[in-house]
Amino acid sequence: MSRERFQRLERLFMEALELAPPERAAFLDARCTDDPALRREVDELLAQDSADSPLSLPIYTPIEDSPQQIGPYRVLARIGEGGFGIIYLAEQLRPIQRQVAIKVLKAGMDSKAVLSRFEIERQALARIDHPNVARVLDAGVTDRGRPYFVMEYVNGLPITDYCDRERLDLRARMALMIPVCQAVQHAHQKGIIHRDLKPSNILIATADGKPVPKVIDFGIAKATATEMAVGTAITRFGQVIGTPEYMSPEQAASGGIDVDTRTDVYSLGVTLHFLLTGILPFDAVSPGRSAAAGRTHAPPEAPSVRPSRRVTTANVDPDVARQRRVDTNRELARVLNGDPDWIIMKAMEHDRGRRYQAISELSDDIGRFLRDEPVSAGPPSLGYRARKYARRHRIAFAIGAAVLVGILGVTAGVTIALIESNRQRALSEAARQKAEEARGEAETVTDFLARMLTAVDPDHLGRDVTVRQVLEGAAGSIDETFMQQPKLASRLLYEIGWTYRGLGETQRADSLLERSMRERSSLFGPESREAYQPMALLAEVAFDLGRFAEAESLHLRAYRGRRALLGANHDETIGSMLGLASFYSSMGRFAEAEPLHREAVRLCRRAYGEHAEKTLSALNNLAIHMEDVGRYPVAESLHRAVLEVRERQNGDSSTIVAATLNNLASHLLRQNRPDEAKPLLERSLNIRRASWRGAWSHQ
Amino acid sequence: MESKTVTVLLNRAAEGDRIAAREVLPLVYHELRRLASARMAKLPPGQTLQATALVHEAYLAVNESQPLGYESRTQFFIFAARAMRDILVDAARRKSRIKHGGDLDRVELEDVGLVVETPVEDILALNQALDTLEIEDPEGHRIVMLRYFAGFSQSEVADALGVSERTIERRWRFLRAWLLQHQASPRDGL
Repeated sequence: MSRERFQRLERLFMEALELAPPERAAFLDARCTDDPALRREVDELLAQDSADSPLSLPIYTPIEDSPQQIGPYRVLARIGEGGFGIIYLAEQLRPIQRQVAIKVLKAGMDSKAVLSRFEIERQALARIDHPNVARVLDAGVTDRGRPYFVMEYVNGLPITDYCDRERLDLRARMALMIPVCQAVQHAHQKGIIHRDLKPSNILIATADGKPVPKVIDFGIAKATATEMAVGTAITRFGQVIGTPEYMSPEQAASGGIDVDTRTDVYSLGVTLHFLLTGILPFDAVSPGRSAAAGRTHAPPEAPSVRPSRRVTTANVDPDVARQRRVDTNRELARVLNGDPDWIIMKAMEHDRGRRYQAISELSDDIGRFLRDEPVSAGPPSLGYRARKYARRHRIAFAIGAAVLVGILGVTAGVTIALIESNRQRALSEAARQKAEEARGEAETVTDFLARMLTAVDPDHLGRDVTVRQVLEGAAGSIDETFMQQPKLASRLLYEIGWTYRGLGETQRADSLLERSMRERSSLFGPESREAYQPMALLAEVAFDLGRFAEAESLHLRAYRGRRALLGANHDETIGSMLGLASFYSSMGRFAEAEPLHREAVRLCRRAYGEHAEKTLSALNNLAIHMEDVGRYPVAESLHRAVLEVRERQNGDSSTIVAATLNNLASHLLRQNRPDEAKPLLERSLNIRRASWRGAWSHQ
Repeated sequence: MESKTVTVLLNRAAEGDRIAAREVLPLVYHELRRLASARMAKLPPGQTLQATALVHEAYLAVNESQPLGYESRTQFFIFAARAMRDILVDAARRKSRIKHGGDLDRVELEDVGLVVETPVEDILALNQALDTLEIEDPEGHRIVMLRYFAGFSQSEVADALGVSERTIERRWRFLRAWLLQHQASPRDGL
């Protein structure tokens, strides 16, 4: 090539660059009529013009070989690499000699910010102590200024690789997810959200030939989250750090700011999808493309395709079926169809309010599936309606302070009894003794609660002490504190069980109530008033957990027992009657439900009066029953009657009025009358908004 | 090495003395290596040097003993860049003789404490393209040497060559594309 030609080439290239790309072709055509080869050459050069050219940065970059030492740890080998950085196997010598895994993050992160975010979580992380969690032990900065995290070393495979290697069938794969859920749930109880759950963060080690899942990387995603969000998520070569496929929509959309524990529910849903089907729920979005468009990755609105369908429609490797011990993908689809589908879909709901609200709910459902019991996730069916019914009747317990009242009520109750009895001048000796006893009990309980609350040291746990943490401490120390007072212990077991159920921790509630019932049966007799109390609640819990036969027998025993022991008009008998009636309604056994609903209303009127809240509540149940059996006009007039009385008694803006408005509105919606329902729902929403504002303004 | 000698040779090279230019290159090369190993000895293990810092430091060392004229200064940096390129190409050749197969292909210059992630073949292909460029467009070649091998910024290159930054920017875009295009052509005769 002559110099002259070289210069011409350069001139044309530069002139073409000044033009908008669509105009370049015409320009070059006009200028290269005599020399088509030159024209082609300019085109080729223009195609090479990019700021991302490998020549754009100086050829030298600092060396990146394995360090000998990271902080106080001696590096043994490099064991992994990913978008985030490099993982080393290292040895800790002091205070104990052991092997650890060290994750050294990539260059370009603000190590100070990463570490200070990690420090915030450090206390909480230190409290994680679970056999299925690999603990994060330490963090620091390398000589070269890179942040690193030191973790318990897990010699294992990612859960998907392990399951494929062992050719585990669907049930075995599901079963392996239960301890994973328990690990994540444990961390949630300690106030830690994982934020980056995916198969490569769930390793399976083996101990005595049995698989032991270990969830790794707790606390790391949060420490590095903001760095990811501000743009270093895309490396020089366009590589996206992290695995957006497993990220919840809200996490992707908010850059990790607006997330709660349900983001982990979503990620485990995607993990389960991949584990069972061998494919992701969505077709992968090309990272390069989404990065170029400047978008954060967000999954499509909803996984509209059920996993079982996706297995047959998407391009699935035939090995996938064989690795799951079925012959064909069709066969795989058949076993996925039903509960596995619903469980995954529910965990992966786009709207987090419609997902499993806690990891424990997800693992409960997996457990139910494995025991061949009905799962909570599912299409509109009897089970679905039963849940809906139950939900409409359940009081919302979510607010922490309100929950404590459940426990504090024990003290208050005893103390009030004491004051009452002191006020009585004409006090029999027996009564006096009883009062003394009560005072002793009250003091013990007060002490217990005081210790429980102060044991939750904010410095130790971080600012957000949850009711769950308090309860956990309480449940754990009942036995030793009340060894001498088994009656009191059984009562506290009941109260804490009650509270757990309100928090949605049904499994925990189940075991505490079960114990309370057993102990009261032996202390007071199996047909005592004291034993019926936990029994009635256990019936509800059994229903929540899908053990319907057990729920029915407990309801019946409590109801019949109370009726015989206390009489039909007694408060507790009426409570049991309402419970049994609701149970039958939930199960769709309306013929059995109806006489109970009716009698409950009648008894309430007599016992509490026409306008008492309990009577209104019974009327509300009857209204819903009428809806259930399709007697809409009766149902509507009952709903309206309840609303009217509640408005009068509680004022227009009370939350109970909001709940009643919702019930009436859902009745109208059921009849396809949305225009009438809408203003009611708006009113209800406004009331709830105002009440939340009120609640928060006291903080 | 006598810094004084470098200065004299550089000044003569700047005046167009081709023999002086040939003689000065190994001297700059040695000066860079000497500086690098001295610096490495003081650094904690595992730490690395920045190529750009190294080149500038070599310049300061030379300039201190006897100030260089403006032309010589630019000349020095181009020689330094050239030296860096030679060090690199030597290492790449060594590596391509020892290793066949596709492992990470990074060239480590242990004694200088530098690493280049560019694959060996690319370095050698680039070296060839640069030789061609030097013949076709000597000034373009100088721009590439300063930017890519000495780690100069755009304004530093403009300053060293006495042209506007805008010119450098546009020329750099062309040269970058040209090198990539010619580096991508068949890599024979290494």
